[in-house]
Amino acid sequence: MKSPQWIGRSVPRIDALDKVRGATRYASDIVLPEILWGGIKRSVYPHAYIKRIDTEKAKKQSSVVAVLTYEDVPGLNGFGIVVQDQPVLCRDKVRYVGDAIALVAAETEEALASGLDAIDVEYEPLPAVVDPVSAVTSDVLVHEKKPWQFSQGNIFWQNTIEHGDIESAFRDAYFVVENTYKTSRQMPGYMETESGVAAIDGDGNITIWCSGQHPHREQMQVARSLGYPLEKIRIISNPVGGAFGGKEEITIQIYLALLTLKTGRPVKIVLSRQESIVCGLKRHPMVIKIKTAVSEKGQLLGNDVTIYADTGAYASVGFGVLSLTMEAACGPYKIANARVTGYCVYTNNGISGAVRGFGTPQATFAMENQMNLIAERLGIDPVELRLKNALSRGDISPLGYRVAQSLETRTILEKIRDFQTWKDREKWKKKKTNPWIKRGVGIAIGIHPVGYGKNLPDTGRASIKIDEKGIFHIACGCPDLGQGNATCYAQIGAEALKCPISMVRVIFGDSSLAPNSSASSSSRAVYATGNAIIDGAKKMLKAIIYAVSELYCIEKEGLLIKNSTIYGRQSMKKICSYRDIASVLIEKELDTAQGVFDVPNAESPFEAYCIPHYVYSAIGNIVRLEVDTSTGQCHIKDIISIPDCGVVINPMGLEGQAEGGSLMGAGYALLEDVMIKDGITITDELSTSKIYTALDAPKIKVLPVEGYEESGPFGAKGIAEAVTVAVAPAVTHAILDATGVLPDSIPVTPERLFMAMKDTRRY
Amino acid sequence: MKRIINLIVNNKAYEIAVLPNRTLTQVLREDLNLLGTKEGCGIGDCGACTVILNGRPVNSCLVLAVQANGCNIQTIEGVADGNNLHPIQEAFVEYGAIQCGFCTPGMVLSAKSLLEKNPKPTEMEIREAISGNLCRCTGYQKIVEAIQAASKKMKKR
Repeated sequence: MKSPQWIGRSVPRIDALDKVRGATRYASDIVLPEILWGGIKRSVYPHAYIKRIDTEKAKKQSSVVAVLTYEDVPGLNGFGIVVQDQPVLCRDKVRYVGDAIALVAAETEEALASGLDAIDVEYEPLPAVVDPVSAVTSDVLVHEKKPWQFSQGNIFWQNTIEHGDIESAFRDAYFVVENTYKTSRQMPGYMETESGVAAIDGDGNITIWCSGQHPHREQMQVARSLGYPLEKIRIISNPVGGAFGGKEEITIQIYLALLTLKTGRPVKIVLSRQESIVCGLKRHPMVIKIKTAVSEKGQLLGNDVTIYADTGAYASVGFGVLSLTMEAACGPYKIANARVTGYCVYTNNGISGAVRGFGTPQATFAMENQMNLIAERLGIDPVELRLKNALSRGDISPLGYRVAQSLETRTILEKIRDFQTWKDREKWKKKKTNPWIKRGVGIAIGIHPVGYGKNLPDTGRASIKIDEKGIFHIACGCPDLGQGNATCYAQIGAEALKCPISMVRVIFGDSSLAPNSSASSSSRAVYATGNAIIDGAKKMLKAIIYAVSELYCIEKEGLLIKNSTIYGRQSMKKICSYRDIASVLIEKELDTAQGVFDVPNAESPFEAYCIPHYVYSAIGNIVRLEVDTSTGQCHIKDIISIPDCGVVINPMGLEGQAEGGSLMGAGYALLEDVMIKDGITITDELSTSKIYTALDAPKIKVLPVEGYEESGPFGAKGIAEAVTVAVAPAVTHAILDATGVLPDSIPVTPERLFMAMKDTRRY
Repeated sequence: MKRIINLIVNNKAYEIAVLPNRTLTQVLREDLNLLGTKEGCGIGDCGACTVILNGRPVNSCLVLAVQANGCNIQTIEGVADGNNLHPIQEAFVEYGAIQCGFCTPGMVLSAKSLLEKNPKPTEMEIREAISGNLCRCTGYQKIVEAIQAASKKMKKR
């Protein structure tokens, strides 16, 4: 193969110049004449019947233009990616603090606040369901009417997958390790809160500028709730000020559309940070019970896992999240016998949904800690234990399906084993320091799927159009949330179209200007849409060859393309450039090519939606940290991130993903938890629901392994999520190494670690 | 009741009538249309609204516009010299210090304020100077590297 021109180069982001000048206009920056401020009246109870909604006082206020309740939702009063169990505006019951009850549009921000205040809601409070484990058997139901055919009581969905003979594994075991792990409610933490503007024109066309992750699905959900023609709704989701999964579901798009439809005027909604933290989607808190059977020589014989996932008041993608937790519950290891049971449970604790990692971080935290306990018990090196059991391409996974595509788990483990930081760990730990400081070094590995998964439609689409200057305009619906996929699209386009990147423009995140390329989620944006761009580019090059062959009367086979120029194959004589032939293509109506890529379906012995997946990316982490034994405070010194993402399209972009993902993982391990007590969020600001600052952040180093994925665009796989999934267990492994205590709950706050150390009576 | 205030913003003088409860962020964004200044929390936690006020970086959401009366303010729109990016901006682009971009204006201004006072900061000094600017995308690594590179670039010029 020819060496690539654009793949593997650290091309700066295509949107960097505008962003660094402050010229990028996010949705909240849009200014339109006659614009109104919109806002949402939200429930103050976690669980209550609504007895009465009185909007009269609010409506009488002079600067209030509209007040809407459930009666004003013309279409389906419900939304949700899988099941539409979340009311657009609640009618008779609220299920979390923050549930939407009414909308107000007003002339000013102050009038909006006063209008919202003037709405009087009378409640009859109900006991709140707050614990996902006891919710399973609770008589108090979050949803009295069954929201889905598979739901039962407070269990939104449950599943068991069994492979092999789990009972025999425990009979044959040399020893069994059993533990229960608890994970926290991590917020996505995007810097731009849910913000947007909607406007309606004289023909009733509604345009919504609002950051989201799938413009075409948002268009469909808005149209459904408005009872409105789909083609009259346009979603523009570009630029996006961060999303991390949290904007995959509808946030405020339907509210914007309802208010602009009602008032006929443009409307702006900007959620406050507090509102965003309370009402935004979070990572599912989980309780994971694992029992692992191990042979004398350290072979994993069986794994029995039970998972309780707190999906909060509404399901959103809880079904998918739990599915991925189940898929990852046995780690990237060969285990012949496994039983995994999962419960996705409704509670009145806010709403859980998609967050970078999508169920995998919880499972990886639990299973990697099992590996640490097993290595301790056997007294063997933790890397060796993992190498002994590592799952590779061609192996049968614990759930019984064959790993079909590239998976560099072994290469990652070998790289960790040979890495100086790991080899010199004892030397580093012995370096002189204060007597109350203990040092530790930890490792962990994980895998994360690319794409939606089995039996779910997962199609990348791209439309490529050449203009009269010979510039290619690549349009794909999939937005860029900040992760840099649009820059990868330009690189893939330039490579596949055999032209400089300066001749490529990318149009993305717009339901009208670009074809539906599905969501920017599931680590699929570069993989699926990138492949669609390659498909479209092939068709475009074919059209160019055809047009040149017609125009110059040369057999198609006698032509070849190089550097945006068409040559005679034998003579290597230049015939014409893309620019020269562009007008001919336009005249012949051959100027547009449509590219499509269907993510392949995985094969599996069990019937399921969502799992397993066709392609997985992998990750390994090394973490060095210090523990202050007098306080329990941990300080991470550095994180090494070793991703397997196949061929790296943009090294600088990959590093950005891995560094950001590592820090998000570190926050998950030590810092982050949106705490809800009796259904009420008690950490509702950035100063209490903390994320890392530059001052506390460790140094992060990224060293990708060389891989190649045949089904990926130029050999690439998605990586946005894998980079975050294994950091937390590497941190707890380092804490174990430093203190002899293995934390089984995250975040490992100083108090938790201090008390756990005290319990050992060694401190 | 509105009060008349005088501001110099990006070397341009303004006389504006503002309500006493308006923040500097609101006045910059809504009255002066300088939309590069972002609001991420409104209570001084995230630093997205950072501007340079009389040579010091401030959270403009915590400054009332009337308090800024008579002050000299620089926003992100005033950092580049026409089409020529400031070395800090160049380094942010070259080193991949930008992802979603929402924190970028505030981050650039905090960095600029640091390098004006301390042209050769240590890594810790850089991290401290931007510790009031939250970024969820980058892990800060490339932002720190970009500011180090900008410090070198500025020394050369």
